[in-house]
Amino acid sequence: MQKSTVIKIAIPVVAALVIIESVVVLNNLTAKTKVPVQSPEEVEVASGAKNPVVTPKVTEAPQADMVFEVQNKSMKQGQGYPVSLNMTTRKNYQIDSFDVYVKYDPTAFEVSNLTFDPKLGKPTFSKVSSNTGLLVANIYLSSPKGLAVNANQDVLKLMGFTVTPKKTGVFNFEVNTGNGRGESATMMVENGTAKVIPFSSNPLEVNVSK
Amino acid sequence: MKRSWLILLVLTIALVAATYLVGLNQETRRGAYFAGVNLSLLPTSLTGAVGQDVPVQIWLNSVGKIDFVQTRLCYDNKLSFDATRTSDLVSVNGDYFTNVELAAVSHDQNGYAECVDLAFSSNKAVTNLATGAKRVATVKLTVRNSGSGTLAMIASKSQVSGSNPNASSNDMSLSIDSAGQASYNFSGSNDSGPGSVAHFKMAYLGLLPNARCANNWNLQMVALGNGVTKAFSAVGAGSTQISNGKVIFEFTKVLSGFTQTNNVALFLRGPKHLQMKYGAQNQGGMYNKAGGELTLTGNANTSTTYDFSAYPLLTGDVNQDGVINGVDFSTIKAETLIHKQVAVGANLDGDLDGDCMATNNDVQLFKTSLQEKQGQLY
Repeated sequence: MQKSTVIKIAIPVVAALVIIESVVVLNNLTAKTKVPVQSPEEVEVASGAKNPVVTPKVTEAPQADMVFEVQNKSMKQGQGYPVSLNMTTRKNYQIDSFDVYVKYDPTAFEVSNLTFDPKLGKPTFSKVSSNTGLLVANIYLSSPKGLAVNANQDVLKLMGFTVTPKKTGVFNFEVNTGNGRGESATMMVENGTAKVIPFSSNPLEVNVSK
Repeated sequence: MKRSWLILLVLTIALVAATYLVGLNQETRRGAYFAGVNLSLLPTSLTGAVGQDVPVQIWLNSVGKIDFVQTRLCYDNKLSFDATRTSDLVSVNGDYFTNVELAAVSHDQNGYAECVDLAFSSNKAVTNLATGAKRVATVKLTVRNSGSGTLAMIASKSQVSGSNPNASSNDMSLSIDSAGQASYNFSGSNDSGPGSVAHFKMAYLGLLPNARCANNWNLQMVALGNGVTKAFSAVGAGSTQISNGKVIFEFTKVLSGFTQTNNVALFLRGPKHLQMKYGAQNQGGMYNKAGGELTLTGNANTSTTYDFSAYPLLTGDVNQDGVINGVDFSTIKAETLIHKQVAVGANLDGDLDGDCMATNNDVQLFKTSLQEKQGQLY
């Protein structure tokens, strides 16, 4: 009788202890795995690092978005496809200038036929630079108040171009943000304040097959 | 009864196992540090004179094998870093590191007037990576003003990674256990001692012959010869002449402290102009070779007069960040729209042609400069 009583008490007590210890173990794991979570906009990765490390960077919240537009991200080698880089803003802006740099792999693509939104006028400089793997356009607006862009409404085609894949594989087009020396940095500058408008963008990934 | 004992036995075993696990240090997270590293600067006390480039070494000390170092150096207005001269001013320790990945300047960060973010990487085999106390790189900062201060390495803006000896682990980062600093004390200009003599002619793009607001334009220069550099914050006053509608300046400058006489190149920079390299006589375009071809002497009477006026300094970098872009355009445009003008001899950012007014001519000069520079870069 005594033995059965002991067992009837011991089993639930030991079971409860196991549960408590398990909870403690899990809590310890959670506490030690807490690392600051950085959102993609807040980190800066030094390019070229084999094991890229991130440096938290103080950035303003983006007020504009640059988005690549293409009919089909699956392309055939040797065929031409139109691509455009479009921009929208999250608040109303008067914009004085657009320095646009799009990075691409010149061994993978032939790029031609740069075009621009008629509202932007003719660029001061534009070029498909296969030497550097950059599509370049510097657009400076002479109208006193610059170009008005209405938030969440106007879609501006910053740059249009035709890509012809030269080899198969997966490749990216991306908005270039600079080379560490301030060169080749995509930026838009606000009329009157000369402030750079922060923006977000994501690369365009293209899959090329034969 | 037997079953009950069996259950009790299983639970007891589970209890013992759980107690054991609690006592273990569970480091299973991704991104944990596999080792620590101490970063330091040498020398810990810097001296120099205004205009000089002073070298600072970045060192690491770690038991880990390091293949990437990123850090931020910050200082007050007595120092500056010219990112356009990164290839001259930053050199990695080639025994362990191979690339300078980043050299970017920012202002008003971490309580300092200026900071430079630097990153270095190595593509060497694991057995050849830096471990122990090793020099990562040497960085040269230019002395701008006299006085004392502190050069600080910011730990929170530093990252180090390497090869984890535990091949099954994904942890590549090292914790920054310490980040060094150095004190400095700089004296005034050292432009009074002996040195090679540079005698040259130059021009500013678009400067008008009747310009009355370019008299105080300060020309800065860096002399480079056989790997030795020295910066001069002011070339001084030069004589002018008008030739075919172009204003040509002539300077004779004793490069005190710079004694190189051959393979010399001169980097010139105006107050609203890009820094440009001059390495050959009668240079008419961009000089993109390493080093230079100028030969100097120690005597003004025997130094060759080099004529760089056929390739004027490109204008338009009004905020002096080393590039011509939309920020400069917007500044010039804003002044042009209100027809801003200043008194004779005064400075106006958007006045690129020196006529004391911001006009459409200045906007056109900006665009001409940009087209020339972009054509060189791309």
